[in-house]
Amino acid sequence: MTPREIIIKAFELGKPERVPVTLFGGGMWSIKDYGTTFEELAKNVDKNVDMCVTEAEKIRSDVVYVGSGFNNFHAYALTKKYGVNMKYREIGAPDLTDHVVHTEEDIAKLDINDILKEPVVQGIMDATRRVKEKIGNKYLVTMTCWGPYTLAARFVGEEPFMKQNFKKPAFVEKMVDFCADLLIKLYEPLVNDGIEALSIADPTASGDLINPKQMERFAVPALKKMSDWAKSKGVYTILHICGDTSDRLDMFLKTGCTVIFFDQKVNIAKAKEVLGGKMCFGGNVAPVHVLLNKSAAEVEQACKEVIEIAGKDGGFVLVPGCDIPPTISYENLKTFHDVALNWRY
Amino acid sequence: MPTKEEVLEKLKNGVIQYDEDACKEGANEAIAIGMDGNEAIFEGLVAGMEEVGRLFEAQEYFVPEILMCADALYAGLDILKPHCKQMDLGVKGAVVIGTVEGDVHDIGKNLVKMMFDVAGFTVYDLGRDVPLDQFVEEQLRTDSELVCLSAMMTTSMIGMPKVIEKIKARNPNVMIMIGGAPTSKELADKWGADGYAEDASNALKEAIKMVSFLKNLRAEKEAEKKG
Repeated sequence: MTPREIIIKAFELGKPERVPVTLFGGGMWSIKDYGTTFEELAKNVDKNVDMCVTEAEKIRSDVVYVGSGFNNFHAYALTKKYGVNMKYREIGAPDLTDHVVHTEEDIAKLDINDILKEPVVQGIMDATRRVKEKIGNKYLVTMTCWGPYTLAARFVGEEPFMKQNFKKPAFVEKMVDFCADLLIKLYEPLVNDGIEALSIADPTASGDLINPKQMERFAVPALKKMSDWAKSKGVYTILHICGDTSDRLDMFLKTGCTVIFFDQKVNIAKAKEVLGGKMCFGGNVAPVHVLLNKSAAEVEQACKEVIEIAGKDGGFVLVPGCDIPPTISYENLKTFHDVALNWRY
Repeated sequence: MPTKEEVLEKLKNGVIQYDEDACKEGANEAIAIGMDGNEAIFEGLVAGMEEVGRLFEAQEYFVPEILMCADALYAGLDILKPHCKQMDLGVKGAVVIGTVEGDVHDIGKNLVKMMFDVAGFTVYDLGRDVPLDQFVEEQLRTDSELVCLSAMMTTSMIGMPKVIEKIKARNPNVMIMIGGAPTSKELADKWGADGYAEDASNALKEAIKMVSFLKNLRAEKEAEKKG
């Protein structure tokens, strides 16, 4: 079986020949390892394709994420006409200089079609197609995005957005729903060209930030809208939400997504109890505490523990609890992957 | 005229129930009945924030609620601050605070800043996505005793040890606190920081602890005066 076939079997709750394994994103690690920058990749699609292919063979994750670290361009595409810029930095992903959506009238001014007109977004989409062409038979190739709740907060600004959860809930609902439509618009041409999965990170819907009711009201319906659309097109939805969501595990079933990659704070045994046999899930080796700070032998031990607890019945993927710092050693990253690649069911 | 107890209760509940108008009203009433601003802040607003911290810990409140409570607290604080007598708590407080380069998450940082504001510290807030050298320069410029560095992302926290090293090299007596989800006591120790708070709730808790300590100190001083 190819890595792609292995992870798809787990997505469909089966037990493949080995434990599936992947990073979530990994853009910053790859950029550092390859020796390039976000700014360079934004302008050079050939280089982006070569980096993704080269790093895929080196890292050996079952999933290859194109565009990791470029998600903010999705909000930029619609707001640059209102004076928003992108800022490149020495450390960290490029980010918006401003937030310009404050009211329902502001939402009405946004043009959903602008998402496909932004050259950097076009470049990432082009790179996704080309990476898929080169290694899509071996690996599951996807493009990354923020989840609708997080993307909405990027347009509005996180702190005011959180307060609007109370002050103007109808505005929040409308903005999040708009973002779901925007993301569907973004993925549609890729899915038509054979991209098989959406990769959604929704960190602002973190279990450490909003309560279960807020998640259910504001974040889940938009995720469901995306996953329903993906299902209608026969493609998978990979979801990651940060923070401790142990108190709302059933909510992930309501998102309709194919797989949820859990944060390291989630009790993975409890996650298995709630989701086992119903929804594929992944977890949750601590990216800093273990992958960055421990020895290779300790990484191996930690990975084995997670598989022993949650991964023995299939429908499971070994993943770090969040995206990884670019300073993790290759030795530890290799060990993390080796544990799953060598784990026969 | 309301009694002192009624005013304090209004301030406290105003914060807990994130009611900005109640906090403004309570603050104005405190001034009208001649209360010391510090007393209204510490026994009213801070008492409310202590309860908010407890509700956060019990997972009854999450970040949006805390942000609303913070707005209510500031609504009262803005009115009361000009009416505060200078407190002699034996702490000269100046703090440089900011979110490190590559990171725009500043909710935890803002909550910690709020508690420093409450405690009467002079706060030099550098904002978010702050170039690393700016922390070093601002500490030198202001001669602050404390520098607080925040990062919410595994990918941005890597700037922290560089800042710590530079500040400590120039002035080993500066206390440095790091905070944010990817940080840990282990990392703080490894990087030579003096303290850490892993997320907004813990940062708030640590800051409340500090302010509660000052509050007790204040109460003791008041008692000494009376005694």
